Amino acid sequence: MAAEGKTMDALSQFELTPIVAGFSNANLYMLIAGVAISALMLVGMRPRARIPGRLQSLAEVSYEFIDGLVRDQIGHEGKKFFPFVFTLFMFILFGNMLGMLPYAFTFTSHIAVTFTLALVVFILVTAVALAIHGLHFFGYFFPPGAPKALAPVIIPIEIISYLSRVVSLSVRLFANMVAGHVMLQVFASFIVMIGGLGAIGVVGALAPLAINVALVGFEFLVAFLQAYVFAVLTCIYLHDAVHLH
Amino acid sequence: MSEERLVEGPSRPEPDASFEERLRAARAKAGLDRNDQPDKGSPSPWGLGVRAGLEVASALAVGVGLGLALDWWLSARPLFMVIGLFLGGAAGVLNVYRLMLGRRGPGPDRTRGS
Repeated sequence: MAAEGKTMDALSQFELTPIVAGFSNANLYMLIAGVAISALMLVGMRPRARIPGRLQSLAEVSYEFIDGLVRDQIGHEGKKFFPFVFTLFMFILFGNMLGMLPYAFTFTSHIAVTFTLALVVFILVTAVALAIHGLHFFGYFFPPGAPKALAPVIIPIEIISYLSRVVSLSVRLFANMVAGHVMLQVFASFIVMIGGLGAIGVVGALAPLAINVALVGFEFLVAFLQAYVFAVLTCIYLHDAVHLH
Repeated sequence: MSEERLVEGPSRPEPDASFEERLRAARAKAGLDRNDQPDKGSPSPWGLGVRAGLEVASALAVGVGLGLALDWWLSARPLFMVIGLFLGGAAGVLNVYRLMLGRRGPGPDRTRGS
């Protein structure tokens, strides 16, 4: 993360660098996220105190947050999807938040990662719908009461609309993370560039510095919000799969 | 404000609440109806615009992608790509329509049984 002289390199922060063969920094941070989530839940819940400490509070709050979300969005049947949604939410949240640490790598800024996550959601939703409703599921692609003559148009449109969920789900997370980190990098480069202009530059560099401070706060919001949006949309799709309407 | 109101929790419907209201509360609890908006936190026009744009763009991408795949398979280039372009655009409009309705999935009537 540096602006070398007068050039600005905002995209090199997303480059994969292999640590061992077949194990890149993205994998490393996924591993860190997994370990951190497990540690939060296992170590945090160890005291099992009636009045929770800080770590136990954090674990309980995140549990209850997703529990409420799943119950609100899916309903009673949602309970069995809680482990999936919770894992997904925590993984994305930790991926986004770890990316906010200096020198860290944001694995959610790779479309390959977010697309895979969206694909897992999509396959699960389709499998759940097929398991619960059987072949009735395909009635989903043709709204009842529509004229039969329009079937050749409506069915492909509904199928495309259904498939586009994967794309919009993955692109939303990916684009938000990339855009945020590029903006941070660009304004950080401005600080270095303007700051290199001598006495006037140091004063001038305060403007991008102030913007960057605000951006860091904003990025924390985005990091949480995007994990939440991903979880909410997963719940909405699961609701559709369970109730099929 | 009477005293019994203070005792009662905010989620419990009033005893004299209309039947419709209690039915809605029960349906919401059973998960038959969805809460109107997934993210009540920030329904800013900017965010809504970006979401709508993303819905159109992703549907269009899927439509064109499917068309190109069919073209490649049946070597009918550019027939299916053009068809996919139009169907994808239509699906994008449908996505935005559903986004604005605050509801997903086809069907003209949300009170239909599950």
